[in-house]
Amino acid sequence: MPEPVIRLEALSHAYEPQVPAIEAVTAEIWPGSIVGIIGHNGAGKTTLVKHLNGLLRPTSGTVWVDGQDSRTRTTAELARKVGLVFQNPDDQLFAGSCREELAFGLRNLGFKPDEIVRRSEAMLEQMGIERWADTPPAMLGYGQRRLVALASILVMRPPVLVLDEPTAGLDARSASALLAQVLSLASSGHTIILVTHDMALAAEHCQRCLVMCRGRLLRDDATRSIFSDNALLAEAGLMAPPLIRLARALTDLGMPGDVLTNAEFSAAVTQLRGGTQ
Amino acid sequence: MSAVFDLYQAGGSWLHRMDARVKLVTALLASVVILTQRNLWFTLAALGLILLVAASAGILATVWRSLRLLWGVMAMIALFTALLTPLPGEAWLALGPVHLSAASLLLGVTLALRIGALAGVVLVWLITTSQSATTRSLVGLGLPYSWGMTLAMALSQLPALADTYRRISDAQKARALELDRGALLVRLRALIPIAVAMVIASLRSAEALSRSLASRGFGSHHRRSDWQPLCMRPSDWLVLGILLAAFAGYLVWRCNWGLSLLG
Amino acid sequence: MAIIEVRGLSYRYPQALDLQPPALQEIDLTIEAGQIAVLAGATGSGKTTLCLTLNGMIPHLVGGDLSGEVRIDGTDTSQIAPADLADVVGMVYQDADSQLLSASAAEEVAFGLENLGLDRQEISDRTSWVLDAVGLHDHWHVPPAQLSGGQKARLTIACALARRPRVLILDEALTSLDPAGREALLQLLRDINRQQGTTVLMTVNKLDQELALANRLILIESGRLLAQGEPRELLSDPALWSTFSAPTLVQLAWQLRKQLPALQPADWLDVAQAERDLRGGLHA
Repeated sequence: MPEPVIRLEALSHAYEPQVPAIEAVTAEIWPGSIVGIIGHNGAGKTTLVKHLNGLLRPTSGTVWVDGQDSRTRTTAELARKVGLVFQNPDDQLFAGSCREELAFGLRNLGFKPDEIVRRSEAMLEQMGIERWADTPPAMLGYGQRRLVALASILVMRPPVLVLDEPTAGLDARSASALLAQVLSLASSGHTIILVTHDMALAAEHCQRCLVMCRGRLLRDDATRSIFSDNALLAEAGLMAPPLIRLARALTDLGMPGDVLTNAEFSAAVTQLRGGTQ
Repeated sequence: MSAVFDLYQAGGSWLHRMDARVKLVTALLASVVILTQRNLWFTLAALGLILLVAASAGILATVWRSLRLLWGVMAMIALFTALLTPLPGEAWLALGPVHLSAASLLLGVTLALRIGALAGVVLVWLITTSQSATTRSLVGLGLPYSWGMTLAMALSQLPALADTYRRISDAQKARALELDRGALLVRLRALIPIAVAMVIASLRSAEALSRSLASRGFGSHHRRSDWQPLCMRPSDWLVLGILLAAFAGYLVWRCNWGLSLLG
Repeated sequence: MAIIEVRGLSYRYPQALDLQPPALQEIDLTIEAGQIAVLAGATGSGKTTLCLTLNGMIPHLVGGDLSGEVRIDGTDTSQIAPADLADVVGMVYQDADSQLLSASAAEEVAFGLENLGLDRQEISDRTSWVLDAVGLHDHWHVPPAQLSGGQKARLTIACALARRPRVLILDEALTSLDPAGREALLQLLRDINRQQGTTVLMTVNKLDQELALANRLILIESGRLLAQGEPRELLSDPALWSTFSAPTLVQLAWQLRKQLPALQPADWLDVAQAERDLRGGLHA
């Protein structure tokens, strides 16, 4: 039985005394899984994930990252294990070229120059942005900047990757390009944590979700179960994606209430109509 | 997110309602008075008067709290002045550069209290005057409108700037940037990625702000109106009159009789 | 009468890299007075650039190479200063923080009205009305820095509305609002459109609640217009949506149409309509 790569034990954090942002969150995340953290605006999702790389320290409770208490490690040390990609790429892009941007994290981690060059070149190619290698990231379009920001964290190959609202502000095409990169990591054993209020995204990609509500962990369960629980979603102030709501509205016709994707829905309709064609 | 850089606290006291221009002039003249004398009793009286004014405006607690932050600085000034200023008179202690005497001790205390009084004046002024009133008072006293607007905009962007710094340093720390260890030079170099990202963010903000101004008609052919024009009331004229008379009196006294250290 | 007329518009930013295509290419666009139009396109497709040509920022404030013609209510935008064009065209940008510069919400609204030279009573009345309309009347004295993201967005919209422009452009201005907040604002825009005849143009990078209000839909990609017309028309043609995604339910309807040809994908803008249509199709 593998050890959890992230373990939260009664984690609480208060920005101001007596005003908890998150309270008594206990959860475990196993290596290689794709976990969603969902909840309404202000539920504490971002506060929670900032504890994973040490940007925030617990007011009480403990965060174990790869078996170590986060309090015994600096943010720089934790960043080796947990890569956190923020929503706004302009918060981190500063270099004179995309190549430099990718090299930055690797230099901070203490890699040798030839290893840095090797990894950066490989990542630029993998993301399909090699023609922008010598362009300042600040001059690229928004979708491209998101890709560069993601690349600059991916190149550090953190075992755990946390993405804060990865598809917000992106059109469907850029969003799937970004997600494709992330999902390919998942298949090679990395752990992925997606923080989002895009319910369709969580439904499609996350095996398991942590539902945050007003600072507390409301439910930690398989995505399918969460989305079939109307009462839970209502309490958390969430609305199931339109697809799921449509399926739910048709249960009297025999439509299963737990379809998560267009493909599943189509297949279900075929079934309803008698199996063939 | 609290407005960290704005001291203003709304209220209805006589001081809050006083015209912002009169308050600005008062703060200026009071500072001049405090800084041009070194008399212990005068300084104590000034400090007492400031605290009295603060009390009558209901802001004594805030002023006192802010002054307490300065005690360390004040104590240091008192100490260094007392120990390192050679003055005529019997010396209690004389060792190389160190020269402690009754006179130098009194001077130290006076200078320290002067800092307190100065801070008190500025606090009483800014706590009872909103930022926009302050900028409007500057414009009312002759500062070109665009300068006043620039000042107001800069002040309004400070909380956003603090926010930006926090977000950017978080993002860079997430890429293993080490800010808290190493020699001074190393630490300064580590700030470069943050500084660059902040400059870029600020330039973008500035561009966006200027577009926003034009989009709301700033600089159009219309003549700008003033929604909250500053108006001097009779009480404001009275205060101004008393103030100018007191200042004139101070100047006369200072020039003719001087104000020695102990009065 | 067309209040927005764009003919043959092409544009390159001043420091554009050579290997990047022009920001806008040969745009021909017409929006009639009183319409509610939605301009949809991927990030970087040219939506904001196009908006900036409509309120005169391009070419006056931004520079660059502009060819073609943009007319607002008959006036050529290259012949009028942006601050004067602002009497007719109000614009709300995406980042609320870089549009807020005053000490309180009311002063923020009043700023734009002072620029019009209105008298103090008029300013007070309009400020009161507009803050009430966006639900911020209780925040009259609050500094914008202390407002939440959604409240800031509502305040920037209030500032534009108070000036009563004939054309109101919202450049991804609703993204920081949650669905309930967005719905409330869209209702407000619909009311203003009906009562004052204000032409509304909204840009989005994902088609959502805005679509229900729109009587004109424009698709843009890489600086070119892919299609423009009535939403129903455009939604019935999957070929138009190869690069920009249609709403998920509409995509589902296209898929299901293979089995159930009677479905009307253009109706699938909300769950209730989709349900009705699908039931009908299954019973047939």
